[in-house]
Amino acid sequence: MDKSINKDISKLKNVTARRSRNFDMSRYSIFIIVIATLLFLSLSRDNFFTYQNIYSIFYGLSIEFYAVIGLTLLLIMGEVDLSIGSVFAFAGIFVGVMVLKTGMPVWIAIPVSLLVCGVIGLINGFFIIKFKINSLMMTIGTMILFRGIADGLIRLLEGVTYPSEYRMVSKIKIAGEFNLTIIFFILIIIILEILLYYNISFRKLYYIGENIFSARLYGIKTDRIKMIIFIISSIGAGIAGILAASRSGHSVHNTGVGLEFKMITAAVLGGASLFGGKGSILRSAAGLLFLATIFNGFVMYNIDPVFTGVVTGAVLLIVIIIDTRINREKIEY
Amino acid sequence: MKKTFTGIFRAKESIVLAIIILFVLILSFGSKTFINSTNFESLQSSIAPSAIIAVGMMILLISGVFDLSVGSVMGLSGVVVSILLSYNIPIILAVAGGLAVGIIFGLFNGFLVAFVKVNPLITTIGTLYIGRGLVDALLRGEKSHGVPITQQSFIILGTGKTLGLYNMFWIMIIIVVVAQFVIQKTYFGRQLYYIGGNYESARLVGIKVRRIRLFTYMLSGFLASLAGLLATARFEISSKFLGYNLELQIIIACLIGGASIAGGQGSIVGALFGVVFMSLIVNLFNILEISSFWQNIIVGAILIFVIFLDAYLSMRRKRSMG
Amino acid sequence: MPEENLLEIENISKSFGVVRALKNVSFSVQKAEIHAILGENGAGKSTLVKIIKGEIPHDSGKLIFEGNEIKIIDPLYSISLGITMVHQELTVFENLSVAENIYPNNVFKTKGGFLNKTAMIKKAKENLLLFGLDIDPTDKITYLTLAQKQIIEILRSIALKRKLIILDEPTSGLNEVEVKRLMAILKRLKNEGITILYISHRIPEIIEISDRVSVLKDGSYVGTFNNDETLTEQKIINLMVGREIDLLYSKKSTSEEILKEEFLKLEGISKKNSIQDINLTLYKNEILGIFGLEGSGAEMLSKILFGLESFDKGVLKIKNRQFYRYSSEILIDNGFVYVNRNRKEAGLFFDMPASDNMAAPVLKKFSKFNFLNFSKIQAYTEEYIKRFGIVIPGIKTKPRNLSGGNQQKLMFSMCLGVEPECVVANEPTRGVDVGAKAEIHKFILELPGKNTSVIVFSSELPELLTLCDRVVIMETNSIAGELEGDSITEESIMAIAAGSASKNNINKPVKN
Repeated sequence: MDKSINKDISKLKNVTARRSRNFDMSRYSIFIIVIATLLFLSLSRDNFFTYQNIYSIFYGLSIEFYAVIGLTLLLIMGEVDLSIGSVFAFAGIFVGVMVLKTGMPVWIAIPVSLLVCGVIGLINGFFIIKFKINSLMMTIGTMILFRGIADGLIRLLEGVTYPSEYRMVSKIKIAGEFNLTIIFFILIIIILEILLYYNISFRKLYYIGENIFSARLYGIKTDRIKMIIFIISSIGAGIAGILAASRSGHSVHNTGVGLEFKMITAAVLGGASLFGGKGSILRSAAGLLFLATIFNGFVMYNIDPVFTGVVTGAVLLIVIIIDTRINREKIEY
Repeated sequence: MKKTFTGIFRAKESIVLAIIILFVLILSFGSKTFINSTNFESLQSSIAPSAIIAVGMMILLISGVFDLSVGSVMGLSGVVVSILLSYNIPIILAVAGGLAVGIIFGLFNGFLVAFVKVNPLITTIGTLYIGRGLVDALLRGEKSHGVPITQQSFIILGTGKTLGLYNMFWIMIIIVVVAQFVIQKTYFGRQLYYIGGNYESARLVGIKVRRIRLFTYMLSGFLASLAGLLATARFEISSKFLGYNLELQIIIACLIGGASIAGGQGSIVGALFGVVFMSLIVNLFNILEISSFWQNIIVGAILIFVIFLDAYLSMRRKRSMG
Repeated sequence: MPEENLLEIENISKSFGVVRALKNVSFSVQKAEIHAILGENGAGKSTLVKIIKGEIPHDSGKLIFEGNEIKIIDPLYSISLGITMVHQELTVFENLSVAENIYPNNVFKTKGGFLNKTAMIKKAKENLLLFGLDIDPTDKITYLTLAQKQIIEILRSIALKRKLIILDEPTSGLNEVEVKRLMAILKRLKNEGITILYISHRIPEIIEISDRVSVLKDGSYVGTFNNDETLTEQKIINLMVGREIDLLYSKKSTSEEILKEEFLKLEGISKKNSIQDINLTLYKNEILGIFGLEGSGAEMLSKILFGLESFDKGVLKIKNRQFYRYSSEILIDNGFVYVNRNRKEAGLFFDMPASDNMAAPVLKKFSKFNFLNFSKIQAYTEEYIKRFGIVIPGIKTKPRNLSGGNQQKLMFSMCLGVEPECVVANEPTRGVDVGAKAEIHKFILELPGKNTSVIVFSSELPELLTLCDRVVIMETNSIAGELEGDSITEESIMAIAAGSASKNNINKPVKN
């Protein structure tokens, strides 16, 4: 019995080597790419590797980051949320409207706004889970709806500056030096990475994404978990939007447009897949860093920022093509 | 028992047509602004380009996919033509250039969806971004408010009239009639329904599915460019915002007109009705002076409703099948 | 003689990993004959068919069609040669009319590219009447019954000038009238020179319709027989199942552990277009077998039993608790586990490490404050690998890279870690090699000793003999009979199943 098992094992090892989807390399490739880009820019442009510049990149990152958290978790489960850009815009302007038009204090307006975001997530989740509507389609619907609402609200506050309490939210500093947002950014990444690796509830996300039927078979409450994550996604987008609005200080047209695709690009760069089962918060953040660095590089090289749209679209396509090639199970369009 | 062959009108399209007629009647009696000839004209010039694009979109929807880049292709084509004309390039070549934009985008989209098998939604959104980005890039600096067009022989394409209707409206009618005819009466047209109904089976009976996919995307791009050229000619200036967010309105119009996201359903005439319907609604909004805030909300709500309805009906259809 | 052969199968062998699905199968199919392929599940029928269709490659041997060897392995290519199959999951175009479904090709295309609709409809009508279907060709096909759609698919194959039509269990899902009609159609096709390959386990039908019958058993070719007076039902059964009793398949002796306590009871379970009025009892510590071949409804029952599908009528009782609807969650909470047969569909996480798979059902067990203890999981995985003899390079290996038997063992290990009160196993050793089979059987036999009851759905007769205290036989979506203890033999099971099929109970409606 032993001999034949050994023979079988060695036969299997060959098979595994030949056939295995050996993509452990891809786990680290995003870091390599990021470091390479950073190095390139540092070496070729003097004003890149300054404290100011790097800090501002991370500062921007620490604000947008919240939008990619929920999205990454959804991607791991094989779902997607295209409404995050609109929720981003909506949340920020909603706080402004509440504060300026109803006199509500900022520290109440923010939770209220986030509550509404949670409801948006609830709506998304409800239709997607109960009515089995494709998440791509459903969230496009909410995206349009709330983009409209946000635009309307923005018009209401045309040209008005936000009150200083609001503007201060994103600028709180620790020890006079580091923005609180950056501290949280680092903390959250660490905590979530640990949770994704060790915590049962988070690991269930991978099971759901890998094979939802098997997951249900083993008692994983897939509906409930999906709903929770949709809510988290919207709230995360809301947090990002509020911080961004706070940072800019006034209402901005078309804020958050295209955010969802930027986030998808970042997540897929970081190894997540539209087909589910993969993803990590740390690597999504690395993807975001990569994009931020590229756009910073534009500035460094005096490339007109108009081109960011084209570049985003191009990177999105490239990244999706690669994802499809690697991870798609034979579906035909 | 529902028949597929009898006549152009099936249940859904007839309902939409009825609603449109009702609408028109109500509006005609209820509002002086509606019957106004300026309003009539602006209706034509908003319906015609959208309907032309909708033809391409409907063809894609019938075969089971869609194209979200049509709006930006429309805008980009207009920009390209205006820039070419501003360099005094002969009109024929400028027009060819503009149309080439659509064909190239269509080729790109079609290749990725049909041969690389990327999800059509993401693919065409990617090209949407690239298109918008190119528009922004081309209309920089002094050009950012658009490039005006001076060549009359080009402008006449958009502003010319025959028998009281805009030429572009006639062009639209011709395209719709031809397309409906092809869909219904030719073998090629029917193949679209097979592909949309069951891609794999269509492949196995020998239909050249990938080639047809590629072609339909190129057609969609071409029609979007055409619409962009006509619209730009009409306004005598290119604009950054031409076609902005139009793709979703067109998809809604097609869904209203009988298409299904699942594929295999729909008719060109239905697409036309859907566009007319949507245009009337927007027209109504403007007459009633409803703010764009509410307009967006209502459109968004209609979209969600239509998608939901479509998904629900598709689910019902699937369940009743053996 | 060779010129009369449409298809020659020469020494075809095929293995999936260590499982040998076909061993040197050779026989020929003549032109314009109705040739039946008979065999139990696992005999290799579907593998052979897939090879003929061009879906999967064979390891060795040759396929010769119309005198030329088939060298390209591609379904589209085989279709272009004229080989087609009418599936159980039909490939109709639901959104189109009947006529359009029959003629999807360009037969009615005129010179200008137009579609000659009137001619298409007329021709369709003719053909439909010819084959006994009074349907309006302009009706949408989605409103037709399954039987009618099947005939439309057959008509399509004719329209596309196919030479060889393969039918796989075509009568599962049809009532007596529809079966008769199908038989008449097949005879007509034969007269028009089309060759039919008819795969089935329903002996009475095969006796009625086929010219010759080829029997496969355990991947080997047994023989081809002319359908004359010497071919009796009994002879066929013997050919299909007769086996030497050897150590692997020793008949089970009655177990003492069975208690007379009702553990699980199904009352009147029915589902639209599927099983009807199922009444079943499982006693504590019993191993109950449910036998059913393709189309018997057994697969659906197993899915319903585990909450993967819902039922419309009836009630399920677990130890006196009643359930009118439930989900996998509820069943797991009540101590049930389900071992699936189609592992990819539901049962394994194909692209996750084996240790993650093992952990899935028992996440709570290996965690403290919801944080997983990986070293414990590792040890747990290694223990089961050893216990079951799972051939696996390392605990991080993904099920995708394992053989069918080892995947199955892995799935069993996953389920048993929960220490269930009841195991529902669906074809537990399908596609599994002999060695692994024996190990899995041994394991199942030990379960009652651990106070676990077992339901085994299987279409493999020896397996049922080895494992079961009682066997319930399903056929045509209802229960056909029951056997207990010593009366369980391969022949007796088959007799009930085949006999039931021949009676083709019209009293039991198959469709609502």
